[in-house]
Amino acid sequence: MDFRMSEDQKNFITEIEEICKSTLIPIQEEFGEQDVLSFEMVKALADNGFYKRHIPEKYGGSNQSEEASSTDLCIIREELARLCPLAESTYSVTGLGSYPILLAGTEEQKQEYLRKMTSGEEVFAFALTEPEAGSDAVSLKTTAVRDGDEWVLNGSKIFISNAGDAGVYVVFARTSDAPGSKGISTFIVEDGTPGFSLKRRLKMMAPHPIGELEFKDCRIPKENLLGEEGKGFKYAMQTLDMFRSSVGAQLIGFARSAMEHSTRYAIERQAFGGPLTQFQSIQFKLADMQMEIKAAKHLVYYAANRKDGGNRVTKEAAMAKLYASQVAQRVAYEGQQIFGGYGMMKGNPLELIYREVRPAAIYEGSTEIQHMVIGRGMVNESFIVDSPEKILW
Amino acid sequence: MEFDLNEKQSQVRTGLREHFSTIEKESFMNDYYRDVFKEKPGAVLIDRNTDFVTKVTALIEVAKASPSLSLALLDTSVSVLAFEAYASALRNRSFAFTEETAGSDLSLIETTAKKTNEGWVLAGEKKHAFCTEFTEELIILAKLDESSFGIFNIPITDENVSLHKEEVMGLEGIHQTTITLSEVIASPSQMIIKTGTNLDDLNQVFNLSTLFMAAIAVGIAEKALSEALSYSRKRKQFGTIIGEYQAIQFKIAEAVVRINASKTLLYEAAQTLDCGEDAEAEISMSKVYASETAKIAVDHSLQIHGSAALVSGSPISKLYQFQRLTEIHGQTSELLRLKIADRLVKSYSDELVEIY
Repeated sequence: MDFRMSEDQKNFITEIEEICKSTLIPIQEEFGEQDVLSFEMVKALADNGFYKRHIPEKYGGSNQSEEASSTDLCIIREELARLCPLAESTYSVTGLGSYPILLAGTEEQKQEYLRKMTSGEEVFAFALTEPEAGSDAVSLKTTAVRDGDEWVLNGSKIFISNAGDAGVYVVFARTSDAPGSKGISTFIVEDGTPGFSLKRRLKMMAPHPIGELEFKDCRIPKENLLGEEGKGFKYAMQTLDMFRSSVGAQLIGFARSAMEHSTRYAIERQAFGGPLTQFQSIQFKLADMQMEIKAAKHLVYYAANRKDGGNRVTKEAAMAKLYASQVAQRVAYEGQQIFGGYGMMKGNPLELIYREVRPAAIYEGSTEIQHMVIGRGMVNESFIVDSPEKILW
Repeated sequence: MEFDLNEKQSQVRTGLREHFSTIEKESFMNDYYRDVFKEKPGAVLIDRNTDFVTKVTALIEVAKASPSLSLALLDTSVSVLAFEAYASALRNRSFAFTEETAGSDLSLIETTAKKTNEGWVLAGEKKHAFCTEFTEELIILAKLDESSFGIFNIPITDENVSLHKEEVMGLEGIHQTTITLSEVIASPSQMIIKTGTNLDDLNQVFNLSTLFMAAIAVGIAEKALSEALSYSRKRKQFGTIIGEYQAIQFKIAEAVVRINASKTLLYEAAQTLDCGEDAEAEISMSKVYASETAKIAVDHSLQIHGSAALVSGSPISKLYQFQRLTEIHGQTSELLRLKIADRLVKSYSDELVEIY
């Protein structure tokens, strides 16, 4: 048993910190809060090899293994979120959008799209959610009908990150009336395809490129089907299973940032004749922050570690994401409380973190869905595995 | 990173599970206890060559089988591990540190040890000593002078020691004892150590008590969850098992997530100790978190069981009462939170320590 990062992992973290300080943070500071993508950030991330890391060498990546490392993904997202949130979202949305191609693409698709991803030439988007299909994604209504050598798409997608900025969209649509998830397939749709448009950009409480997409008799070549027909939902779930624990890692990054800022402030800020840290109410907040962040971080890296060991991590990733989002919200709230009025001001780090941590309790499996998945799995025993060496449920 | 138990550690856990499955529950605090340190599970706890990961693993299993037994093992195990003088001799012991006026702040103790020609003479009254029914030796904290304390071992059968036992809520066969010392004479060799009034030399005692209480709290929480799971799988209301309802599923989800989180903190603390590093912050966090998790898990389990759990003497009602002790004994949550915050603030003030 060893909860510590390896020397290689520690060096990797140091490397990310250095790139953030020298290159990424200055881009974020100049960009400010905008609801569009920073292409300068895309380029910087690509130039520094971030997009290459999980992609095999033969597709333009730097990964010597065929398998993407969940632990690596978590380290990157945690450190970027902690130091440079704009870099984090710019990195992760394209990672999520392109992952189904890595998972299910043909050799040609991988060669074409993954190379464009790793080089930063194209930005990707993952289009699953619809106006009337959120947590209940299986009920999506967008259709894709085969017509000769083409697929014809009709429907709309909402809350799609990078909408309007991405060059390549991975779109989930219904291809048959087969029950449940069996009628859903996955397609690659390129920006500029006739019939495909950005319906509107949306403004989020925290800055983020996001919007609504529309498909009106949008025709794409039959070769743009990704993987097997009818297996789309499976690819979506496999992608989300890979990314779910890393959402937790991102939240740990936000929470650590909140804790670091508010601890330093509590040390410096004087009230009633001494620093804020003289008060037990503040000390207790700081103690709880550190304790909960540590616990949540362990759950995140436990899930990632098991994923990298070739296990299914539906349970572990659900726990990691659920708990990390709760912790991040508590830490952001208490951190803002420590800052008092200053924490409400635009420009204060806690003001932004407080807004940044909220969406993750909703996307990629809401808090309610995670509770349901975990509770149900425990009751029906599908989550109960009694192996002598495992320390966690 | 590596999160699994190794083969040896797994074997200890499996062995204990089998061991406890064959024992009548009522028998733990009688004949069973007398030899508990000669074989499992006690032998694992007091063996200095066994790592802490194994020890906390064992203690979780003990607490699941019998909270009373787990508590009864605590003081003896800690004393053997913390005091060099105890490496070999083995007697069942109880710590007698706290007093009416000295709980978290032990510097306020009034029990004195005065040096005379006959040896040390101890006088005073100690409160809240646990498990004295099995104890052969009391480990007593006494004031030597204004700047120093001594720790003495006193046979419980000493004619000048009198005991007043009171029942503890939720625990069977275990009492909390008030100990009156009226001119108890101790030879110089009965003083285990001498320490300053800041009690720095007792850090190991406090840390290990805290770590082991954290493990006990995890065991209680897991027991409560197991009971909740089996009940929600068989109890039917409104035409289906209650485990089908989100009201129940969400409670179970919260409990299991917190239990897993507790176990990561506990094992991290144990592993840090095994590496020979300072683990005070990790231990403190593990106990605050595990004891509060036990509160949530037991409370949810009780709610899931409904009125059946309110019956005095039901397993859940006992856990519900016993859990409370885990937030107080082995250093209170309040004291531990102050320690955690103190470390954090110092590390930022000095900018020396990498916290993660």
